[in-house]
Amino acid sequence: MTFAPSAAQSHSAAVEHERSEVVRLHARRSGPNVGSRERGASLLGGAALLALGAARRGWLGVALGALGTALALRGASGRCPVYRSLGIDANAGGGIDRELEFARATTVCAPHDVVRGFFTNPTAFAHAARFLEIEPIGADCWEVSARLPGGARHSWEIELAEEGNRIEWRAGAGAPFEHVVRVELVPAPADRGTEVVATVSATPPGGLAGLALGRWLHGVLERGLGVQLANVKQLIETGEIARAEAPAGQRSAVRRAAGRMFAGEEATS
Amino acid sequence: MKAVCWYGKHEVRVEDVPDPEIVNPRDAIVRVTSTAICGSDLHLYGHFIPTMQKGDVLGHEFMGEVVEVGPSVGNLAVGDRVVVPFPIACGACWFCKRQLYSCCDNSNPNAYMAEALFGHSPAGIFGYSHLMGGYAGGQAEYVRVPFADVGPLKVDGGLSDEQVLFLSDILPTGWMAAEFCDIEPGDTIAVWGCGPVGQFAIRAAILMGAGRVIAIDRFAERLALARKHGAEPLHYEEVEVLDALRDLTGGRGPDACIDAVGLEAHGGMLSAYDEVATRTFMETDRPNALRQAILACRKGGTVSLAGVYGGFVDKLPLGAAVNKSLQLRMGQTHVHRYMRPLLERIERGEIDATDIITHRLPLAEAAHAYEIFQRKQEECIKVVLSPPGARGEGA
Ligand SMILES: NC(=O)c1ccc[n+]([C@@H]2O[C@H](COP(=O)([O-])OP(=O)(O)OC[C@H]3O[C@@H](n4cnc5c(N)ncnc54)[C@H](O)[C@@H]3O)[C@@H](O)[C@H]2O)c1
Ligand SMILES: [Zn+2]
Ligand SMILES: [Zn+2]
Repeated sequence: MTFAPSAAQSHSAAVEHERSEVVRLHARRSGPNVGSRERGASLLGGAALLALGAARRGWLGVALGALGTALALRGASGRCPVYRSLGIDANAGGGIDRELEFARATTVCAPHDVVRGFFTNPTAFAHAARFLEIEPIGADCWEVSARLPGGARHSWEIELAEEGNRIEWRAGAGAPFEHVVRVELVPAPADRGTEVVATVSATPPGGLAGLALGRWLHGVLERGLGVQLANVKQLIETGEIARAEAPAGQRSAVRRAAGRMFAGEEATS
Repeated sequence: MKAVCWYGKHEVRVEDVPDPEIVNPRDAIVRVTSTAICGSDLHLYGHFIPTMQKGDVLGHEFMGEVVEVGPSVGNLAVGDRVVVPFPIACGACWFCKRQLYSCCDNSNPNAYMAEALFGHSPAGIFGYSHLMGGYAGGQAEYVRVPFADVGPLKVDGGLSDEQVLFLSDILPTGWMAAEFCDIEPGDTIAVWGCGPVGQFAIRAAILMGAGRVIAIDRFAERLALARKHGAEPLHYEEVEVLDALRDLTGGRGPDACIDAVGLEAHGGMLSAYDEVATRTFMETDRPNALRQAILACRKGGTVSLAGVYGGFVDKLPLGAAVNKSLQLRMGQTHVHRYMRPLLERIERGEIDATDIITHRLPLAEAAHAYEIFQRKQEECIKVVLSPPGARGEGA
């Protein structure tokens, strides 16, 4: 039996690259991340603290015991949550990884040109990213402003670049932190339309604490990106963003906020 | 306006809530003239479906009169009489284009919740938890209908509300369940559950050419109605269902089995297990009818699920399904696909959907209606509720 070369094989190098990026950005983050020497030290140190703790009475003893246990477990398993939150993988010889990166993809049932047109049109784009206002201030430069809680407003510049089937937005002057958003448009099979693969890389503000917080929120950020993509998809496919409005049940303030963040819902009474 | 609101397990209240408004350009507002309680509503009433909030407006089987349309709704006008399908579908996404309307990509504002539970989000559904969109339902005086240019089916005044109301859900649902069975002349179809969905599955199977239909339930009035429409009744508390089905079919087993019961199935060999497992959250659904359907089905046959499952099941005889080469087909009904052809059958007099209705009550008596339907008291098979001001209309 012979096989005809599949459509996947005929994809461009850019698509190949995008797919390997997706796999990289979805790497499991639960493997060992402590180097072998340090594991030994952690195990021994932990055991010593545990012994010290056992010899003491009162809260100090308990605290030493707990710390010792945590260190010993860290040594035995090779997994360190602090390292994880800072993106350190000692086995890969790495230091602190200050970049937060995540990816999401969607398929828009529309031709390439329509999808591209949407992403490069500031008005359309602003319609999808509902918490932002966007003004074009140059050929490839937008001014973006976000409404902050309490009515304040923060504005910064974003530079737009297009190369092949990729569109890239890079934070410029005044941005609260460095970030790049990339979108790769890939033709979807048969009549499915256009795949949109979005990746974000950002250097969060607030030093190590900001970084740790960002990593901790990884899943939430990823989901938020997914919601933004869904908004784009809905606007292109249906001309509106689906919303469930009152009358509905008694939603808590937290749920309302989550609804706004994830579903792009307006506040409901 | 008045609306039926969910307040927790076995508690609904008819309350005053704000009137709905047009939110998106493709919305319409419908003044409800008739609305029904569905077996699916009982899963909410029994609190089997997560993400309900106190005060949520229930109801996904309803019809009425258009009173307001959004600027992008070109095909409806104020005054039109419409039946509204229970899944909300955009009509434009890849799934809608393939007529997989209950899989619409664009109608669940809370897709992120469903994605966490199901991997992907199905269509939004009226009055069916926040997981399914958080839309207010149609057991109310008024309801907002999103994508109103796609779903609502116009019906003229010649037919009564009761004749067409069930196009919104249970008639297409029974129909799709039978269609999944790819019935060939002479086939024997077994149907678990003789509620409204089972009743319509039975009638659809016969219209599609089934040789025999065997109907399984434990309520005499439901079995009697099934018999009236050509099914052979089996009372599952009085008969060993698996043994009887095998030997009623010459040892082969039914060619296809329809589960029209769903996640609250009653009884069975593992019922004590299911009781413990659901209470300890090891499983959320009790798949007893489904287990039997898989075991009963003939080799190479089809098990069709109309019954709703929401979460996880346990002790499912997957080994039997694999080793007997069964085909399992399921889904929330793609109602839009079936509404017009079924309306035509109603107009031609081939289907009369009205004889399943046992109770006609004002919306204000919804709490009582839920209670008797849930407990299968007063020989209740189907309740139709009329909002105030709509009594007797269109009938
Ligand atoms: N797929 C869909 O889109 C869709 C649409 C509507 C309803 N449904 C589902 O269909 C199911 C039935 O709905 P309904 O309105 O007919 O509800 P219903 O509660 O009136 O009917 C269920 C029937 O199943 C019977 N039953 C319970 N345990 C049984 C068992 N072990 N064996 C045989 N029969 C058993 C009950 O006695 C009852 O008569 C529900 O799960 C509902 O959610 C699905
Ligand atoms: Zn229903
Ligand atoms: Zn759709």
